[in-house]
Amino acid sequence: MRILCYLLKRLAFSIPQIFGVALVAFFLLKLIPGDPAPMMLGPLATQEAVDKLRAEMGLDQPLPQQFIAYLDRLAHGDLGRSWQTTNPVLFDLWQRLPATLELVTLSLFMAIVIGLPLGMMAGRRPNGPMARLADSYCIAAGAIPDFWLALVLIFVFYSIFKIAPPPIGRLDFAVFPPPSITGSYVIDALLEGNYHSFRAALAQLILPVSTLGIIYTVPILTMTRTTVERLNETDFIRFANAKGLSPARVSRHALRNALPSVITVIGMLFGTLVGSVVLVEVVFAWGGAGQYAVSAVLNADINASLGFILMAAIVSLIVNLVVDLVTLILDPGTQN
Amino acid sequence: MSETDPAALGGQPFANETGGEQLLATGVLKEFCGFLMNRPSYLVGYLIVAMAALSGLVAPLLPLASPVDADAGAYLVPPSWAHPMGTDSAGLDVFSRVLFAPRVDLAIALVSTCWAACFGSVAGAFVGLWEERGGIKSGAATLILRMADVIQAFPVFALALVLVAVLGQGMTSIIIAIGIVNLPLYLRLMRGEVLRIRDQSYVEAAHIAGAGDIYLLTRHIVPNAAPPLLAQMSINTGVAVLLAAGLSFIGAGVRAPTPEWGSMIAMGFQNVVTGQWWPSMFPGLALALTVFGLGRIGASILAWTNPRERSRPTRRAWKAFTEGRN
Repeated sequence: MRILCYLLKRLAFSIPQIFGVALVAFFLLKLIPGDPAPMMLGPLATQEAVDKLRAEMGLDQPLPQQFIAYLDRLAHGDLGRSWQTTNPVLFDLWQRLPATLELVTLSLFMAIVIGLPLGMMAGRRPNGPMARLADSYCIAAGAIPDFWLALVLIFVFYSIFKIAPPPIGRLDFAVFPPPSITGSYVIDALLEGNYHSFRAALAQLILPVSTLGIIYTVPILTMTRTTVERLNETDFIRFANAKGLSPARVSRHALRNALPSVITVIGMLFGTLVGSVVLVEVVFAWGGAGQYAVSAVLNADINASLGFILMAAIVSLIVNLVVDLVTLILDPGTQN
Repeated sequence: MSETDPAALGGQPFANETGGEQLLATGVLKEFCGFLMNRPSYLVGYLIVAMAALSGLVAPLLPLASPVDADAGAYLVPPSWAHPMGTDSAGLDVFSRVLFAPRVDLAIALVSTCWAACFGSVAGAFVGLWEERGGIKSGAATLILRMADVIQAFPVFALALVLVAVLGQGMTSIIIAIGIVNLPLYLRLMRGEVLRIRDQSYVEAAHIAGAGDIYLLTRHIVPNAAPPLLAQMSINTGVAVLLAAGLSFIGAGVRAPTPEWGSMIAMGFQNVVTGQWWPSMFPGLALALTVFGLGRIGASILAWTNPRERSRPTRRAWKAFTEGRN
């Protein structure tokens, strides 16, 4: 019941945010210089035709009314059409989103697998060798551009050692994609029971996931480490140590209490990654929402570009909502 | 340069005790240099950034190959004496381009960081001061904060990318876009600092004595908030370099013949796959080193302002101490 109450309150808080996001998108749309109507009709259009289209598009209305009409269209899922693919933008994004989410989720998973234990160990002994290692790792990984690291990995593992598959997207050309169920090739191939395409899809994932995983470990590591360092000073950890509990046991207590802040960071990272994945998608020709956004931006396909950031913002709002709920369940004290 | 101007760290609350702010400023500068000299891991950051800035400044004076005119016939030449970092697929000298690139990359990063820091921290300071004053002031503060929330709801890179798309490609657009995505950071940082400083009794005393907002800000808040702000600016300049390079990498930033690390990496991209690593690897290294240096500068300011960190004996000092005893 309390959780339901909190959920409602939290949802009520997201509404002004969604409104704000839509307002920014509308503002950006209006910021583009020039009148879209004559541009759509071409230079030979008559004035009447332009006026008619302007009236149809609602461009002759005052701005607040245009914004209301825009909100109405958004509420119906109408993000306009992309002139590159000639499809509705929502359809395009919906098709490409699974590829991006698959990449982002697996990379985050890798970042957690590296960052959490390393952060725990570094936090337990703030001057120990693990802490030094964590320091150097954070400094190095924090400075390396992800798109360049992707190239280095391709060079080492594809060009020199020939272990990794070429960076040509989510599947080798010779492999048929599995029937689309969830949109993630790995999961779909598993569901189909097709070991061959499962392996091929996984192989394509290794380099991009490593790239993002290596770099986005840093925030998780730092957060885990500082939280554990702080917890070391608390009474209950001191008591646990004084009782003579084994270090593994104490770590478990610490982990349980460090989780809420770590999960908050993971949620924020998910949002950041949906944006940053764009670069890595381009390097690996991933064909996800990020690459779609790049070609939209480069070709002045404005509906598609705005659709992408709306989608990115909404994905990160949803993730943050989920994170807040998980935090609440882990630590009921946070609900205020 | 976003290198710290340690003089800006002067004007701390104890300024009057030691007599003369000028004296204190040079004293702080000296102390800060001593602090750095004992900590090579921070000093190296200053050296790297100074090198990058210097190479950008003096590159046109050096006897280098032209960064924009191709050496006809010398395509993808591996590193050699004539071309220390080789040439790229268009026959351009990579070494010369790597040295010229800070002119664009650092300039974009510095200008965008500076304008974002100026506007963001001024807005943040007023938000912090006005938040609990009631009436129109509170309303304005809340509105500004909510606006920052909305900007932060968008993923940084995605927003920067679309801003460039809307504003049209070019240096100015990149500077505006990177600044806008960073504004909320400074706003929040400054607001946090103001909330912390505002409740100190000497500030409350000044407020009750009738000091105006501007006086409070310039006299008490800015000097106290300067170190974290400078640290944030330094780290953020690094992030801005990465953003600018990233935008140029996908072709939404600086256009190809202009020497710029991101677009150079993009140009060498296809060659890396076939084994010619030099057109992409060298600019990437330069980029990573610069960001690393800026990060170290920021870390040094944070360490300097943390009393525990500042007074922690370095290994070198400890050695001198034990040797002195024997």
